[in-house]
Amino acid sequence: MNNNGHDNRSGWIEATLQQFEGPLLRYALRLTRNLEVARDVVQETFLKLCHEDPASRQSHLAEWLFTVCRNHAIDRRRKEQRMSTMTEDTLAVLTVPRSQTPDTVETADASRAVLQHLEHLPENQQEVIRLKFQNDLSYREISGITGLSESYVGVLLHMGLKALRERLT
Amino acid sequence: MSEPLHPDDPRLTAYALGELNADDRLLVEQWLAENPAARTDIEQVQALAVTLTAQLHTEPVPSLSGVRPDCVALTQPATPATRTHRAWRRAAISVSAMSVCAVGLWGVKVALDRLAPQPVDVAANLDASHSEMRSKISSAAIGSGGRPNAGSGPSISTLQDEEGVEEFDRGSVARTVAVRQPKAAGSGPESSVEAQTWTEVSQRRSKYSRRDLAAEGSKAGNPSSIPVESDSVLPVGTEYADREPAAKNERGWKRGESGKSSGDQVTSLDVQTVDAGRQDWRTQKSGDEAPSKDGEKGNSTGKGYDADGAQPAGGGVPLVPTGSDRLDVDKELSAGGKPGAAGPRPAGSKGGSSEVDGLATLTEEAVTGPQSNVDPAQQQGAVASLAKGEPAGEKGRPVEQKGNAATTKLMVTPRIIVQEEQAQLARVEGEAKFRESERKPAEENFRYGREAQRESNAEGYVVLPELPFVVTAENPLSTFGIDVDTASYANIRRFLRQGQLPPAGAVRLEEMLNYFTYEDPTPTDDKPFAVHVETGACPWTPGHQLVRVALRGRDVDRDKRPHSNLVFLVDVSGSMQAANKLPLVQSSLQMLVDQLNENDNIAIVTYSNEARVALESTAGHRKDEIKALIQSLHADGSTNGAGGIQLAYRMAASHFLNEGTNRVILCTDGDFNIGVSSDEELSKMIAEKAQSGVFLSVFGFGMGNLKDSKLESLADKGNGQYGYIDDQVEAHKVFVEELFGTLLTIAKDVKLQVEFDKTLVASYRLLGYENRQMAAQEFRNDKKDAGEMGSGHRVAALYEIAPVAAEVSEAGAKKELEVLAGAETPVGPSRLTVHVRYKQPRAETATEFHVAGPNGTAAPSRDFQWTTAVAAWGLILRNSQFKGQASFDMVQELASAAKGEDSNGRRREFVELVGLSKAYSHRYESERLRLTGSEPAPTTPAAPPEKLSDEAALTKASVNGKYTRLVEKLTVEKDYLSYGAFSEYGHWTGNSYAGNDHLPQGHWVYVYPNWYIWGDMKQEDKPK
Repeated sequence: MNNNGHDNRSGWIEATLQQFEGPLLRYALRLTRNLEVARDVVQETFLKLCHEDPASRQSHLAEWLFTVCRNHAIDRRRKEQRMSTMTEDTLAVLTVPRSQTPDTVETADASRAVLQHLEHLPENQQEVIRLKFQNDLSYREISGITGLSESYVGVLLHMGLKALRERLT
Repeated sequence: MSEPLHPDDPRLTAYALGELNADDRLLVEQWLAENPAARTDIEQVQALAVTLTAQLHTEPVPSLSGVRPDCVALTQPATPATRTHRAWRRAAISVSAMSVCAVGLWGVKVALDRLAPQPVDVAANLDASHSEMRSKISSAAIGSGGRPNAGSGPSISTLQDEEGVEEFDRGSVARTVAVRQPKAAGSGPESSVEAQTWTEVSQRRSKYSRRDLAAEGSKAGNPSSIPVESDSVLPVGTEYADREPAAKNERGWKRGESGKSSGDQVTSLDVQTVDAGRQDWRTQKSGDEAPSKDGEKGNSTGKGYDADGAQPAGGGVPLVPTGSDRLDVDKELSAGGKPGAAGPRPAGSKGGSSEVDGLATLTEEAVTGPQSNVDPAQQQGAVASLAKGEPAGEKGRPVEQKGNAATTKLMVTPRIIVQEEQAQLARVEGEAKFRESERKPAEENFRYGREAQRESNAEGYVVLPELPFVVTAENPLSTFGIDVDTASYANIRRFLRQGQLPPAGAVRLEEMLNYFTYEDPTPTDDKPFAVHVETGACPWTPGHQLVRVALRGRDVDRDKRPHSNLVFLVDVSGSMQAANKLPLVQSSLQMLVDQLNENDNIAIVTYSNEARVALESTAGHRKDEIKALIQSLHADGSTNGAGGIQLAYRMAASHFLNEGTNRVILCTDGDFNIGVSSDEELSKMIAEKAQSGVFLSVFGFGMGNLKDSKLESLADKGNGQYGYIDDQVEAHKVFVEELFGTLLTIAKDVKLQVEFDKTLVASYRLLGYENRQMAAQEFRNDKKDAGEMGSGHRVAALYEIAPVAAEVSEAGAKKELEVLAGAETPVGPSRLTVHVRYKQPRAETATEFHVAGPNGTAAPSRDFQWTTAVAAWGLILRNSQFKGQASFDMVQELASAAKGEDSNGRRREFVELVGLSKAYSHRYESERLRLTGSEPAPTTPAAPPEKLSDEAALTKASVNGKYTRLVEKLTVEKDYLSYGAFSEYGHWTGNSYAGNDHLPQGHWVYVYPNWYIWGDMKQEDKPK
């Protein structure tokens, strides 16, 4: 492995790119709500990956990538927030109040409706649900990524899933 | 059976998802066995999980090109304006981002290649003699990189041709946009698109270079110089000129639209300096240069642009950098000339770098004949057509088919290169690493450097000058805002227990007075608090009187207190490890949690290396959960509270209770880097949040780097209180006994205006409240912030007044008083009226009422005496010029007489502390005299008391058998000077006294000539 570490390394980065580029971009977009910024964020994430040692990173690669991506995204979001005239908290802006849930969600296709309902959950619940089910991450990994305690991740998922079940029935 | 599970227990969901640890799994399974119905829930969760997984995996992955409709649709249309205005520069960004990461990598790599051994045509044009800028940049690169090819960016930005450099050097002060633009137009319409593209490119190059220069600058170590410069350019003070939304981009675009006529857009920004001119030129020149190198592409793309119908009006410079961009660049360039002036960057600059790399190098590659196998024409065309795509975005059609196609091509291209150039990656990484390491300190210096320099790692106290005597005839009004803080007293206690006198700055009289519980009656009317005024003789200045003004807040029934939304912001940095810091915070919070119920929400945000939400807002009755979390907090890492306070405020805002208490509670040892760039900014933010209904309380823990004055001012701005927690007892006082006072504000912006009658009062002086003073006219200005009062809070203020006819001894007071001959201490009309103004907690307008001072002389109440004792002690401790005859003995005498019931033992503790301070003070004094070589003034040297026999002395020292376990006996003969023949000193935890070290803790009793140190009573008492 060490004989041609460079090849392995860049191969590793390339492979990581292929595997995570899309998911990270999707995640960053959710966080930043701005594709342009999301792309910056993901690019930064991979640039940072280039400084990392493959051997030590490989074990928690997904968690690491999502964590870095999230931090960048939040940095950016905070920054944009400060720069723009948007005064109130992004949280508030991005969280759709429950009362705004449309009554007429197409229920014909229940499984597709799930996604529409999901949009109306609080942002933090959406985030952990996406990390869990879209990116197949564990509670522990999600905890590492979001900085929330593992038990709180559990609470968010529980609350989120409960709300979804209620809406679907 | 084990504990029953609530159907809402999140562990059930975790179980369904296979996320539970073994113990909990067992528990859930047992429970499920007993509650088969609950299995349905589990199955539903699992079914939902399957659906969610399937559906979420079908969610579109955003297109990397950024122009596919699906992902555009994904972005929330919440800020259309921003997106539209941002659009123009998408050309550039798209290029850099077209393959998110790959281009970045590749770009850096190519940049490296440029500087590495292979000579490249444009690079070969470099002639050091032509450009001071270039040489500076190069040296910056070398200097910062430690190796000649380390700085890719700077060298790219020096890729100017010689003529350009000369012109650069000739740049005149007045070179402006107006001058520039005709010239640009002259380059011909067919080159317009190229010009545009190249304008952007060179702009980006410049930015790139300035970033590295900035890093160099910070390395040279002048972190504080940049903010001034950047402020003058960008009010927001960041480098993101090219990356920031709406405002600036809009400006840039507008300039493009107005085109030829934009001579009138010469703004002050544009004209400022020579360097601005230089930069203008540079931008320009690159634009002109491009077509000559790659003319055919210029044509084709130009055509595409025309076809799109969004012809750039100005021809030459449709998208020149915005004024701020340019100056930004200029600033950096000039800064390059004097390293050290170039500033480190604010946080987040990382975000900007790679994109710039990618673009600059990509374009470079395209023009100069790259080593890659990619057709330069293809890239160039793509760049241009992307540029062309942008106006489409501006017109609200972000999707543009042609641009899309080009982008797709580009998406592929860099990847190929990445694969082909794998062998170079290691160097890329090295380079990236270097830049990373350069940049980070820079950012940190920027954020923390100034503070660190100014405050070092020490406690911060500010000694406020005492208020002077004011001649009533000149100004009969004394106006101030109340203060319910108590931190100063606790902090003084900590100092004394450590074995030293507190520094004068740590002594805030008002906070000492307000530490104690007084017996003033609660209001009998509907006002939130009652005001009591009492006068009596001033013990330290004969002839003077004291006026005690006391406020007593209404006690709100615990059951009736409103719901609360609390966010604790806890410092968990390494410095908090000490036993009297985080562990004390933890036990304090545990105590507090016991007081909460389901109507309260508590969240915990921690900060060390980063801010995180340790506990999302959780109902107060889930005590076990909350307590377990509190217990799990541990301290490590550096203090990098960046964003901690914002995060805490966000948490508070997201659970805002309209009808309740919303409060952020900061627990720190004071090493508080908040991530907002200045104290002023922080104060402003806190004040704004307080306006919005989220108050801030601050609790200091431990010692060593307590930023006392800073913490106090933060709490003051946040409409909250500042407390200092030095031990469990204090924690109990603050978080249990007085919690509802803390949580429940009953009146805000409480101001007092005391009006003295000049016929009766010659002059007056307010003790303490130095930083709560306000001008008389501010009393009725309801915008002026003042102190808040919580449920059950007591506030006391003390005036020393010189009655008319009494000799005004104070030097500052003038003698031109109408002295009423023969007037005794006035009896009859009241000497003062207290005007009180306050707002209800949610009101915007204030209520006012008045209380007349007492007109007779009654025997002073116990509280009056107590207040007097505390004030006298404070005067001594801060070595006040007004302390007069105040002495420790006087304080002890007054305090002993006024101790009263003292149910919570605080007054007894006070007497103890006074004793301690007296002992230290005496020691200090003798030490000082020893050092100055003079003997203690033998003012009637008291004869040594009679020596008792050892047995008799021991008996006396045991205080009638109160103490039984003698642990140490210490002979200090001269202490009779302070303690007389006998003194029960009380418990002392110091371990060094009168030249003896390693003394045990215990209760000290002095019986001439020995100190008897007794072991803890409790241990001895228990067996009995």
